[in-house]
Amino acid sequence: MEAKEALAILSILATEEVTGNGEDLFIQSLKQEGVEILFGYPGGAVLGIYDALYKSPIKHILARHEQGAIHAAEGYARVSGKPGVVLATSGPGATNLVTGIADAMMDSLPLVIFTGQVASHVLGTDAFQEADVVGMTTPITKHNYQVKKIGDLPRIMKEAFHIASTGRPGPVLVDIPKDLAADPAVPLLKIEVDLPGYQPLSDSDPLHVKHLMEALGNSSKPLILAGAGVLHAKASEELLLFSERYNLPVAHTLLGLGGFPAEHPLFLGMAGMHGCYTANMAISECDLLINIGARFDDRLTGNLASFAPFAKVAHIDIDPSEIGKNVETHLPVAGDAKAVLTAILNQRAKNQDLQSWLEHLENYKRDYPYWHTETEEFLSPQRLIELVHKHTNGDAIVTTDVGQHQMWAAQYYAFSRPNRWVTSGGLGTMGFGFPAAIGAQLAEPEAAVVSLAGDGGFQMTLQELILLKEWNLPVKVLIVNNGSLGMVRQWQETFYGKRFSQSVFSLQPDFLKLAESYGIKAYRISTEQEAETLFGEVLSDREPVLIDCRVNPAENVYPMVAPGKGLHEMIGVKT
Amino acid sequence: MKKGTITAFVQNQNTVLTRLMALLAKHQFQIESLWVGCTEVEDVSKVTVIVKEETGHKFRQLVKQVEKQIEVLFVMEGTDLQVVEEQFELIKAHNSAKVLVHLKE
Ligand SMILES: Cc1ncc(C[n+]2csc(CCOP(=O)(O)OP(=O)(O)O)c2C)c(N)n1
Ligand SMILES: [Mg+2]
Repeated sequence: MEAKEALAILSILATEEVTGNGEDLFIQSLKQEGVEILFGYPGGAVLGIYDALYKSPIKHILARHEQGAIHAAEGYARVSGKPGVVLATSGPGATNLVTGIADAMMDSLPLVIFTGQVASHVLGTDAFQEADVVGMTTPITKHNYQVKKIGDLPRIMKEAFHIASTGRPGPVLVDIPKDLAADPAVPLLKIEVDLPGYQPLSDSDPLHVKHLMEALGNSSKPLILAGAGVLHAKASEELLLFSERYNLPVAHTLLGLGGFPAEHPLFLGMAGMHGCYTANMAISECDLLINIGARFDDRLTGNLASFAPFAKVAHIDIDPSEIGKNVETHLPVAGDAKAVLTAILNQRAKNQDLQSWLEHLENYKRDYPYWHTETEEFLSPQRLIELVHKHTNGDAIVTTDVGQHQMWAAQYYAFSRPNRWVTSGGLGTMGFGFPAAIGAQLAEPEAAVVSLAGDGGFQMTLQELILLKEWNLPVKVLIVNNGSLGMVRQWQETFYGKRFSQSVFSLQPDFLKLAESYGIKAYRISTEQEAETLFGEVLSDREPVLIDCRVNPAENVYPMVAPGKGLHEMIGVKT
Repeated sequence: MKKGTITAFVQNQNTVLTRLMALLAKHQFQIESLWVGCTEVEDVSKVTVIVKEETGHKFRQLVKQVEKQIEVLFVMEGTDLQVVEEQFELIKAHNSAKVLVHLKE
């Protein structure tokens, strides 16, 4: 043993309980990283770690499926900004995490995932519950590790948390063979992160900022497109200052919602496939498009050939590989959104008269808002979201699955501050929303959390209902029940000659009885009046509740940019 | 068709090659040749890949993706072997992966 190492051990012995093996080392490292909650599920390869957890004060949330655990960790990370930590066993435990890992990778959520592995001496023998987890998660992690000797564990854990939460956040997986975790080991203090190949950007090139400011000074139709990068960088305030200083209108991506207050006069709305007409036309007509922390996803851009045809494109992004990836970029600014916006605010651009541009957009906003029809017969899903907004004062944490209800939530729940909106954007994962709500509620125990679930999506992860009871989490589960895989049904109606192949449920469970069996109060509503009354009574309760909201099964999401079309070619715009 | 060459100096970790190959596959590059070898610097390997470059844009994307990997210390594109060697001399002179931090920037 080296002298340095011995010293470190001595200093630990002086301050902390003497510990015995890798499993204890694991717990100690978690403590050092300030981890308060673990989302996990035990099994053979992690029995030792669970044994060490038994004595530890770290809160462990026992999901009922590993996918539930990882989506909960994602919700926790999205709302708290801290890494969500997941623990699962080898083989099937690890493979059940794959959807969540890919989801977190796409939406840049910081996760640190620990998987048990079969013992090192049987690795590669197709041993019981062996799966090549490092191999299969390589393309869907920011980084991953397999621990080779127990002495490396503290360094690897330190690096994992560092990599997950710095730069562009993302999931990092650490695979730990069972025998190593049980090896005798001694804790180490003072591990320094030493990753010469990983230098996340912070400050930007001043010259690039200068060019951007010059372009801004020469623009008469500027537009900001703000994505989730603003939220990750905690740069909402700077965004607001920037927009207000130069009177710059702001559009959001789906994942950026809440970065800029929806009620602000300069806010245009969400852009993209089901975004609003004003935001999409603003992109189509602007002469300077300032993208801050968005990745020009295809659901946002529509047909690239007609995307922002008149614009000089500026792109501020912490990940240089995103710049110029999909859209030709004239003004690249690689850097952290907060740092770049601060640099921008420290400079002055020539002020242009934007009056006619802003008035033009104002007219669009007035003439072509989101619209929907309401019938006597059915509860309108859009109205439902408006009522949720009303009865939560527009300040709830809202999570969704994927599909029509997700789009209606994005359109109609006007978010006025950051980190209230938790949705699966890039991967579009059904079943994400409900467990994510559990993680969100654990991150903010006092917040009102509403899980807007699709009747389809909810059935993918509903087994986590028991956690609401177990941990007394006052999550409000609202199933937006249209009796179908609504978004699939809509596409079949519009693009596949109304051949509703496998998209309409012929049978549904009784969601009320289901909730009751988990000990959770449940209601069914099917009219606006019932919604008003019930929401007034239960949405501010400190108890979990499930509400089966029967909405118009024929309703479609509009407006829409049809596949292959440009943003300026929206259909279903208010006439 | 034009060919593209990428030379990456990487930290020796058993997952690094998997990562690079997964990237090439994801971006639909066909590998013409691949060399991997130790260098005189402990724990640093050199990976050189020649691909059938399809468009300049696609190739530049690949280079950026390679640069982004945690174990990748330094990336050179193109076939200018002299430049590659010069950069490597610098690394050797310091005999440390750490100087690559500056090179990578
Ligand atoms: C795991 C998964 N499987 C399939 C899909 C494809 N898909 C997208 S939306 C959708 C329908 C979702 O139905 P529901 O949850 O009821 O939401 P709705 O559209 O009806 O609001 C489907 C099947 C998906 N996004 N995720
Ligand atoms: Mg549905």
